[in-house]
Amino acid sequence: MIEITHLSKSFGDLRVLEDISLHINDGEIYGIIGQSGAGKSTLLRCINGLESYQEGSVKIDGQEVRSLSTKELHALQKQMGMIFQNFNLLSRLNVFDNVALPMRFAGLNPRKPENKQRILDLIELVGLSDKLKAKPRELSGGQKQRVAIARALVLNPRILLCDEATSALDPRITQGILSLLTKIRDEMGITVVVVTHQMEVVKQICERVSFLKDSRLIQEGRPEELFVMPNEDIRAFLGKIDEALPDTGRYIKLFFTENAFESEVISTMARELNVPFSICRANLEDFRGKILGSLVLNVRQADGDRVLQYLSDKNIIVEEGY
Amino acid sequence: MLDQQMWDMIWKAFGQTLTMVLWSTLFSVLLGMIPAVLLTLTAPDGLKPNKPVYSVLSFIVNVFRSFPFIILMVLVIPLTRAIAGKAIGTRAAIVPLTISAIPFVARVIESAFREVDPGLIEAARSFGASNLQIFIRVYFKEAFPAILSGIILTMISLVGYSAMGGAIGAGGLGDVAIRKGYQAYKIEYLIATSLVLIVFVQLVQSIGNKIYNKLS
Repeated sequence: MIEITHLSKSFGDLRVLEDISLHINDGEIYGIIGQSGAGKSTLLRCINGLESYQEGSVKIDGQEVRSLSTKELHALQKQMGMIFQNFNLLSRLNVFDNVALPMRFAGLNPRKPENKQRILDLIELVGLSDKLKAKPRELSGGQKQRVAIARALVLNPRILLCDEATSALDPRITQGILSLLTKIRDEMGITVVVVTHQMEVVKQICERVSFLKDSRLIQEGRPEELFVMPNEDIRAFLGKIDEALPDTGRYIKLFFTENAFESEVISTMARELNVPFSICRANLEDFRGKILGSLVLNVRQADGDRVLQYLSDKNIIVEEGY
Repeated sequence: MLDQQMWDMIWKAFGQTLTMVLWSTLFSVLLGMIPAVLLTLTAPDGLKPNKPVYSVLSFIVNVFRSFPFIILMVLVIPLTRAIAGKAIGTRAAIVPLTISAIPFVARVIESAFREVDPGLIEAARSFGASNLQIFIRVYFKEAFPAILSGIILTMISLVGYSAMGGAIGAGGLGDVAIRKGYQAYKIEYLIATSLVLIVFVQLVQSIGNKIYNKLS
């Protein structure tokens, strides 16, 4: 378990993390999302000791990262794999030797049969068995990230840290990497921490997420909690500027936070209340297979109160306006 | 071609040039590697940033680089005598040549290390690698082709410097060109030594390029 409490960090006068507290459970896929410069990557680097911190605490299974000796830190880092936006593969090593590199750092001989088998198994897991001898420059971006994932897993870590791992990839390749990460978590039970500015990534694979803005943690929760009814900061981050709708009647916004099929409530409502309405806007998205989102209705001025009452009776979260 | 005597002389001089260049390249690479590694380690973005060490070392390297070779050669005569046993001759010339090449090699190798993507260093650190492991398995491994082409560059500039070795009786092609070709005004010596030097430099450079392409 990763426990971060009241963590603060500055680079000189610049405050990059301000009083961050969160915990990440074992076997969880946890997202850290926010604008560039919000402090996400620094936060990730505090977890594996690549960055130190001035105040607060970062504990991995009860061990305070800052208080470890260099040797202990190196040992801890070997239990955490990391992948990067730019893949960071050694250009002069082929796929096999790149994956083997952390083993060499750990003093293990990659030519020993059991170690060699481990490397080959991982290369197979990421689907690159036919590229063993290829150099990174012969690979596409998605393939390079797959090599990096195999490399990060070679020492059998308990935690996988992903720093903008899909930001340099196109959407289709991103899908492949995300399903690979989910598969790895499901098969190995490893904890995955994902730093990203891509909303898609968080929606698709993260079970919980925290939103960082200007060095602070603004909100933490399940992705649907943060993004179906986004607060002001998250709306600004998502860049959703709702264009104006005509100034007639009343606007009612419905949120579907459990299941979008709740939306059949509006056809029932139309029958039971016998009020005319129009659907002005719908915003439904896929959260790890669940379709959630919001819907904006426009009703006549006079029908507004009845509609609001009806929907609240049906336990639908509603809000006036759009 | 014109006379056997000339070619005998040039052949012997070529041997002296080769001796000077090869040995001083070898020694300067071995000795220049130390400041190169220290500069890379202590640089502001290095593995062990240390401003005082970096600035002092950098200053010393610059001071040695700015000495004109001919002056340096005279200045280090006592050292030459201590190391080579005498102050004149081909073997003696290796000492000032090496000393003049060390700061050059240091800078060339330092910049080869600097070219290594910092992301690779970070990745290695994230896997719990020690600084020594990072130097051997990442810096050296990745920078090797660039280091090699730096060594070729050093060798070629040492060919030029070795021409001044004549001043301390080291012989060599440059010496023949100056004494016979220039001072005694025998134009055929000038042409012949130049040709040999051109062919030699071309050969070194193209072999270097071949190896570089193969490695990188």
